[in-house]
Amino acid sequence: MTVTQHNAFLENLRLELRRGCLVVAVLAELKTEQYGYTLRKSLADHGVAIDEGTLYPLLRRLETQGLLVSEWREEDKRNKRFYRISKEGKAVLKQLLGDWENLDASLRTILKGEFYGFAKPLLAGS
Amino acid sequence: MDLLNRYLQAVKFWLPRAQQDDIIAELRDDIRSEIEERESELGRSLHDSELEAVLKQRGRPLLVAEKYLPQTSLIGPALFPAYWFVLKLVMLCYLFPWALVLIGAIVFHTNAYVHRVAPTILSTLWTNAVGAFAIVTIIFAVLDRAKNKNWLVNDWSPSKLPPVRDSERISRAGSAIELIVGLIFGTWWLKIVWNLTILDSHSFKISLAPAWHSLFWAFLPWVVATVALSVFNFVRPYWTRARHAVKAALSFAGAIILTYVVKIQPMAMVTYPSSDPEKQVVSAINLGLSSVFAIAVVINVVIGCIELWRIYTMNQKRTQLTSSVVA
Repeated sequence: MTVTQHNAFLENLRLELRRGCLVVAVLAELKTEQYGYTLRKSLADHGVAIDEGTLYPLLRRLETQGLLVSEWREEDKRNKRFYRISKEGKAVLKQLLGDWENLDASLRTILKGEFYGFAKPLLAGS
Repeated sequence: MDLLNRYLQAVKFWLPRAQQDDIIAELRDDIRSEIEERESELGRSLHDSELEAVLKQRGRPLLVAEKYLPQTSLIGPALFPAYWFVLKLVMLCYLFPWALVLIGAIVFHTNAYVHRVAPTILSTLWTNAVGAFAIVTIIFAVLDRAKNKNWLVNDWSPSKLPPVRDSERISRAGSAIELIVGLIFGTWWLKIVWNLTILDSHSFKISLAPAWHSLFWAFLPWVVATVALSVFNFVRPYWTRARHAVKAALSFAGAIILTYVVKIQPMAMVTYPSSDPEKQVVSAINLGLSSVFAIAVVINVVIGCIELWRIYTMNQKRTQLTSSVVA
């Protein structure tokens, strides 16, 4: 496997790993009402960079599923669409976070702290 | 902002009509927010080239719009393996033999008529290929849209799965059929090549050209070796490299003999009760015979190559096994 192939392969694995987490991050971030651009900025500031081509279709999907609500409002003399988490979204987020904790605990058991321990000094140095 | 409007118009074109305005309004706001942020960082308006860079970074309009569209596919992942298998089957059982026949006919025929009609046959083959592809695709697309895939998920039983295949085992029934056919056909064929008479009835006689006679001594060991291989396969029903090699050698030898056969012109002679035999009938018989033998040459070469490939894969398997044992 060449370095380019290895990087592409790793990038795909990272994308798969991130995909499910994005929904959780977006739902959690929208506990406070925000419009798309500020949401994207805020997610990026928290280390969850997401491009607009992924974020907006995701917001629409979550709204269609009833997990978000949105409304158009004027702000700074411009119409903006504001999103916030719905009641149903909050319930789903709670369940997802529970699953996340279980998964994290399971992974820690499987890895017996080995990789977490190995990664800690690296993360601290970065 | 003309550039921005042009960009949004291009994205809008690909969006579903009911959502066009909503999506475009949001996208416009997002891009304008980014532009304003850049402008406040720079303390001036963006130049056209900078605006162009912002839009280029957003991506091609079609690809931006595509992310808002529902995921669609003609044949979904559940049915795709079956679809691909059927396509390969159609190619192998229908198109490949016809292609071989055509190649054989073009390569071995000296007859000008064959060369004249070859483009037409090629075009028919192409039309058939496209037609077969379209029919299989349509059937699977319809099946995929039938949606109720419960039968696919639930309607199966592990006990109905086929037994594990041993690629090195030879079917005894297959060897028995090969042996019977080889004996009957071989004897009949050797008799014809020796006597040179195919049909002799009421003064109507079809006979092979005298040049065939010299090929008897080539056909005889070939038929004997083929029958012997069938007997051996029946008694010890496992492929070995040696047996693959014998089969490959027999196929290539058959191809060489048949190449000589194809060169015999005319192949057959027809004797009629009247003194003036129909030239067209004689010509048709000869054309038919040389077509059959040309096809047989191609088939033998293909079988020979397959056997060589099997020897190669057997060697590969052995190497892998040895290296895994060493490791």
